[in-house]
Amino acid sequence: MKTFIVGTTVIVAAAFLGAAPDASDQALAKRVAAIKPTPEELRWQQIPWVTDLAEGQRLAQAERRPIFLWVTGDDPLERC
Amino acid sequence: MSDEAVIRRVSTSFVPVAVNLYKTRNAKDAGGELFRSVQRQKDQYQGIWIVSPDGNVLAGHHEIKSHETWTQEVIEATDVALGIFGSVQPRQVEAANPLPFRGHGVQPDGGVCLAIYARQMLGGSRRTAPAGVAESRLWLWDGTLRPDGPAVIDSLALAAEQWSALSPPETKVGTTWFVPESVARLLCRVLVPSSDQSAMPRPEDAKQARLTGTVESVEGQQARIRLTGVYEAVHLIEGDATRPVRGTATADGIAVYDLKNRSMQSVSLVFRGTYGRPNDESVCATGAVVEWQH
Repeated sequence: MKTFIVGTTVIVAAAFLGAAPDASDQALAKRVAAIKPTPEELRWQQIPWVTDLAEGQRLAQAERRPIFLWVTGDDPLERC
Repeated sequence: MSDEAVIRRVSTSFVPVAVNLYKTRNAKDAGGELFRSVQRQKDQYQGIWIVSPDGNVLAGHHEIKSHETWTQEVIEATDVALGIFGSVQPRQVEAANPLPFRGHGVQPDGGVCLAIYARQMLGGSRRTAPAGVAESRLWLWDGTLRPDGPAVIDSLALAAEQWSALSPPETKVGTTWFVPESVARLLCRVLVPSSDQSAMPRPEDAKQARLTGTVESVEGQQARIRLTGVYEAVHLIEGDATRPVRGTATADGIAVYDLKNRSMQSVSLVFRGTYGRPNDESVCATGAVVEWQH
């Protein structure tokens, strides 16, 4: 997950700072930083989520432990 | 869900499963059947259910008493579930990135998956407020630019042909091209920063979706492309004509194109705009980022 978080930061650097940044680039980079989630906001990604409920039940039966089922109107692990 | 105590409890005691309500409740597979059974046992629209391996609901959590107590509410739900189920051995499983191509790389079929972030914003100076914002709402742009609430994390898959529309037709400085509207429309989902897909504008909701590329400079083997756009969409939440939501935004960003390999190296597109009910002054300020790198 650390790679995931660091990677998104690199994109900003590549796009805005790779070439000589002008004032508008810096303003855009500042806006990007304000919009994107902080690492603290993304800590839930440290949980080893399973995105297939049937597979989750199979694992729960094999491991003899309950399922923690999180259901929301978006895809908690992105919509792609 | 980003609280350390919740992360530790969920990761070590349970099999954590995260699914989309709209897909799961209609799914015809075993997962869909289990979800419908779970929902019948403990009727809640969405939220958290804790379920035994054989499908019995042990506990649930839906109504948040307050954001301050949410963490404790979830911990208590897990306590209830484990009290019924019994103790479990600590689980040790590393989290894996479920979407390795999100925001990175080109997939074997030539398509890509753009990473999207959107959220309500505050601040940044009244000078940056979009034209047409009512005087009574300009206070939203006062102060330092800052988030107003949690970010929506989203993705957009582009097929190879759609992805190629972002590349310049030629790399001479000053070359300008319009991204086909059918592709530009795909981005209108960023206009409403709601994590619930029911409020997300679809391509057919776009009233305006114009995205333009201009080759700004060429240095060595890299062309720097300026992307600009103008967007407006009106979406009916769950198709309900009494619940329209309108989002507007301008887009500005940079892409880097590799001349030698004739391929995009990075894209970062930043949206700023407003959303609210059509013909209602009470708009909120929004921001979104769409990005990708090779």
